[in-house]
Amino acid sequence: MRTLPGKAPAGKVLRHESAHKHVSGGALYVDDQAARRGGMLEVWPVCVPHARARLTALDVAPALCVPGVVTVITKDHVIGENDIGALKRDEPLFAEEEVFFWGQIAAVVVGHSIEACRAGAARVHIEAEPLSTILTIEEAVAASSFHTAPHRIRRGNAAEALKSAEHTLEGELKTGGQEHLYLEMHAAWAEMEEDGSVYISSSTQNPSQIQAAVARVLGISSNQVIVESPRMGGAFGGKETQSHTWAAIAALAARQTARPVRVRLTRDLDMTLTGKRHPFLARYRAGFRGDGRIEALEVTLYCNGGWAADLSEPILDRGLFHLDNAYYVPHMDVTGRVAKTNLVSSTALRGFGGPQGMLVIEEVLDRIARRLGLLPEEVRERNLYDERGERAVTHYGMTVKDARIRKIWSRLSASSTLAVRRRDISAWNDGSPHSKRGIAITPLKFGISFTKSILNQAGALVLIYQDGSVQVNHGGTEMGQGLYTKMRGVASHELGVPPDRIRMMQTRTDKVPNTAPTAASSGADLNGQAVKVACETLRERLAPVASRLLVERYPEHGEPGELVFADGFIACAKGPERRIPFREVVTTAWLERISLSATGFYRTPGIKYDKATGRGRPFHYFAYGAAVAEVEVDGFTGMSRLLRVDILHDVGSSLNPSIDVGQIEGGFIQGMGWLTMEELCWSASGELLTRGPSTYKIPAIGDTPLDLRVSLLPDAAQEGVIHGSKAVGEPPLMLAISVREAIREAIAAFGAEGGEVPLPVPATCEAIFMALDARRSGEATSNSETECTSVT
Amino acid sequence: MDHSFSFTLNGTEVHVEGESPCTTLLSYLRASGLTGTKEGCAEGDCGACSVGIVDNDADGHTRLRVVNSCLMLLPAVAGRHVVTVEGLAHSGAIDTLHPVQQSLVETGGSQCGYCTPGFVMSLIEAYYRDDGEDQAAIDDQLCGNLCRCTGYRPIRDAAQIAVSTRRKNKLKGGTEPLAKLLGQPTRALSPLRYEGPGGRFERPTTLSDLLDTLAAEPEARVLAGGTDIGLEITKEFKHPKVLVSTEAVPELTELGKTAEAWHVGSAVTLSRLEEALGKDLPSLRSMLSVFGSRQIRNRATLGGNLATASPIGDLAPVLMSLDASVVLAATSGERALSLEDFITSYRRTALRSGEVVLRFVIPRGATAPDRRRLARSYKVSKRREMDISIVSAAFAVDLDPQETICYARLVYGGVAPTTARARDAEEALLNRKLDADTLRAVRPIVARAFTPISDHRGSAAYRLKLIPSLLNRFFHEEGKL
Repeated sequence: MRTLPGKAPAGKVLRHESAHKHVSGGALYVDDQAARRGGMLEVWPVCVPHARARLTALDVAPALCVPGVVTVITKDHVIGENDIGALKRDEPLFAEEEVFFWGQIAAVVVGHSIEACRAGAARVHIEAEPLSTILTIEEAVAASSFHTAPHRIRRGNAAEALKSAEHTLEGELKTGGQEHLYLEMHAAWAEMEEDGSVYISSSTQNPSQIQAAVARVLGISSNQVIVESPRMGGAFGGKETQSHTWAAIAALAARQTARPVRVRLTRDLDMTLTGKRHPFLARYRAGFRGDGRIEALEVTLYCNGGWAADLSEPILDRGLFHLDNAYYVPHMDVTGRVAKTNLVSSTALRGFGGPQGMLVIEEVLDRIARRLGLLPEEVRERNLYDERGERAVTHYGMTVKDARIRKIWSRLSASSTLAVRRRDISAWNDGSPHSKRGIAITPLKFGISFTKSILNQAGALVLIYQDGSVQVNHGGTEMGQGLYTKMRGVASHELGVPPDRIRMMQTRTDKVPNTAPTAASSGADLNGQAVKVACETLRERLAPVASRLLVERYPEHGEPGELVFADGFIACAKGPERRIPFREVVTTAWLERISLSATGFYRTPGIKYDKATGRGRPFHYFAYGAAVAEVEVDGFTGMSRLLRVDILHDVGSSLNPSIDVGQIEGGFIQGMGWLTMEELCWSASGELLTRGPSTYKIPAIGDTPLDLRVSLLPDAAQEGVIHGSKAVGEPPLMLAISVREAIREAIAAFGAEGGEVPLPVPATCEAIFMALDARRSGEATSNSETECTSVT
Repeated sequence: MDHSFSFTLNGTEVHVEGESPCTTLLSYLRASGLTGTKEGCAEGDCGACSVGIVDNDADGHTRLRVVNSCLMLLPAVAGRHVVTVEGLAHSGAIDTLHPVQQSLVETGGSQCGYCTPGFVMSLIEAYYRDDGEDQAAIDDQLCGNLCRCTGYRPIRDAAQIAVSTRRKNKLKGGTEPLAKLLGQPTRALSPLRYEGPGGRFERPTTLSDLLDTLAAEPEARVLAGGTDIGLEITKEFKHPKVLVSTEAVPELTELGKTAEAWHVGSAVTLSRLEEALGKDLPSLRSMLSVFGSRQIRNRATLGGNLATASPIGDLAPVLMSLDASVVLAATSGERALSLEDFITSYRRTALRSGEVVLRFVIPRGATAPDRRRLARSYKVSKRREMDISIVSAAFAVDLDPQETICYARLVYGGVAPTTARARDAEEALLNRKLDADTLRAVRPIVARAFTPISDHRGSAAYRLKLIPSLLNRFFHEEGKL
């Protein structure tokens, strides 16, 4: 029997499912649960203060004499495998013979208080013989220290095209790392259950992988491990693989002591011991025509993977896939490799290599524009992908089918009055010798799907109780992105049950097994479909019951035919006044012994990629957007201020516009932080020096422009995605490239027209000042002379 | 010695005993099951741990002050009233939320929600303040709260809604419990001599008791707001054995002015100072506007900022440029020093054992009645708000009736082991006009005044360029170049 949901998707206007709990302090995070339970043992890690060393002695006995210390755990306590690696087995939980990064854990002290554990850790005796280290990409390349073989993607003949190109340029672009700085540090607690089973509450995006890793470390099977991710206080990719260590330590310590154990990292430990965004190094050559069209691009792309492989390979792949951003390049030859160094292992962070790839072509296009004396927006526009034909095919052979980029570009150019403002700014700059403004537009095309295709699957479990109330479980985790809210909207729409009758359950591996991490912006796409499938199954089971009740109640109308589930009722599609309350149908179904729970499963169709040939369709679809940023730069200090931002972004037919705008704004500001102020600083011996928000500066409220205009592309339903929506988690971060380009425009205005404007990433006040000072110099001294002599 | 003390927590009296004096309010709250207050950094930089304490403003009115509970030592709240996020609404149900909480729900001001209780508490302070409805005031109120999810726009919107709700509610007369509490006078702090595991915390209420305690305890650490000592405890895990708080000593918390000068007790918080200054001392006010966060300024004191003698302390350059002096007290008597003589070397002062900073004397205007004072301060930092200076500078010049410079102070922070004057350049300014010729003459002199170092905040090369550049800015802003 055919059943339908109501017409208007129910979730569009829902507030964040936890908002009232957030503001009242009632939302419980992992360590809140532990604090409220009380009485748990705590831990403190014993870290080896060398970026690379041979461990020659480890004596934990002195720590055991410290009052309050219960035990010290080392690799010798690991019954299973001493490894928590995500994709490869190259990540020992406890250091073995060799230490690979500054701070690597050799042991963990377990005790009654953090203070006791810390005192114990200070007494653990370690002898380590320092070994030579590799910290930078350049050092790794020189030493041929890599995690991966080269991955090459080619189209056309870049070498030949470069030879015959009208103009060429070449260069190097380094991009810095980025700390996630989720406000909630890593945390986990574990408690033993019966028969050697263990329950773990973890602040993680990846409960299933933690379940597998803990089972491996403890030498038990997966069915003995339950992992729950109640909610995260931010994650941004930093809890996709980096939470494994803490969950495994909690589980191991709980088993060792037969007591519940709580692991909570301080900010310093979190920043020192967990991964960050990959620094990248790109070496490129570009060939282009006099009109600014790019003909050929050769790029060698390296990323600093740190000591372990982690997710570096797919991250680099995504970097390679996004070297085109939104532009067609006829001849392209790009190769990438992951450098192996003695830094903490780099990991996923919103964008997953995409931002670092895109920056390269944006850098190249800006240089082309300045070489040719054209406006950067003209050059960018000329190179955008077309909507069809060869100029709509990426370098890896995927067609940019629904190319919305030109539409977005022209609409945003108009709505932001880019051309007028550029003229106004130019006039303003003429009257302002010591501060300059700049404006820039950049586009965005971002591929949606895990590039590791097997991860594109999801499950759900929907339970209806006799009173008609509903519980929804799915494999996705909530880190603030509003996934639970969207899933509640999907379930509400599909079952026709009001949202307040639907409870979103915290993500657990014993409810939905074998889930992918909540990552790659895919949470709503994948889990939404799975929830929908489960709801459809339930609708089908309830439909015969509802039909019969309708016939009984409205015998004069005969068979009800198609049924609509909406507004808490099940109604006839043809006569919606004929309806039975959902609750009544459910109760009747239960009396008739009909199952009221169902699973749903989804896998993304049609995606495949062949790394050997560099060809395929790695993405289900692309997300698009563009941003116009206007900045003001102070010539005395290099400090900059973002004045106005206009964004037009494509989220398809939004599941929840308020949440999607929140993702766009938040992603944009996070990207701006990466590109303008966030700077990781390491000592020569590989120790991270910026270990907290006092030294690592992320945007504060005053950095958000007062004039921030975000629009969603209208009439943009996306085929083949849940309710026509599109992924939104990562893409907006890259809209912030417009800020960097606007800063570059402002710097350019400090000197005479023409010429290139080199600008490091991040464009901190220092980087900007040095760039504008260089721009002024040549005429710099005379410049200030002129100003001074003009005194009246 | 007392082995316990009490304070009021969300309206209920609580009794503390058996806690180390170095226990932070944050860890106490969380261990007590009030887990709404979060730890995000334990260094006063993220605001997730923000709570309210009831305090006095410059005029003696009862105020709710938002503070970082991660840096607030538990004995410091003895006898006070503490309000946490759990103390605002009757329950978690949406219809009982405080208007501030409601506004954040409405605007989508929370995503992951971890920073949200801290924002709520900062907004609660704003809600019960009389001032500050413009955007700059709201941003200043919230700059000590980091959010990594929202990008802040909905939080700004919530703040606007909250302050306009305040206006409406005020017309009706605030009847919520907090409004009533703030309508009553604050209890004066009583003396505290608390001994707990690992040490003591003393809070004398007279100057003589303070000086006697310090004379008897040469190893005692003096703390006022504790925003610096708190860091030693939370970041370096140091546990001073004896802590002596100055914040209940009336002589140290006095704030007043004469025709010539401001007299600011060393334990006067920077928020109170800001409130009191009005339009006076513009270069000090502009530095305070980029100094720390609201949470920090609600606890940090002028004495604390100067007695740490940090080369990147932002108030030292300003006070030095204004020729401030400092009055020190010990059981043997008082003495006065120029601020310059007070700061002796890197993080060292002229304070002797048993001596405390009593107050600062900050001249209000030019060095003579017929002179015109021009004073500005500048701070260069990676982030405008809530950051440590790469270089800071405070300039003050007096012009005589002929517009000739007759007093000059060019004081820099972040370029030397101590806050430092560019004396040669000051000398070169005297008897000249504030014009382009003078700038041209003085720039090279100031440019070679210091040899700064590189650190994670900025390179030596950048600092070297900033030194003359900031003077350049001063000339452009004051000299009509």
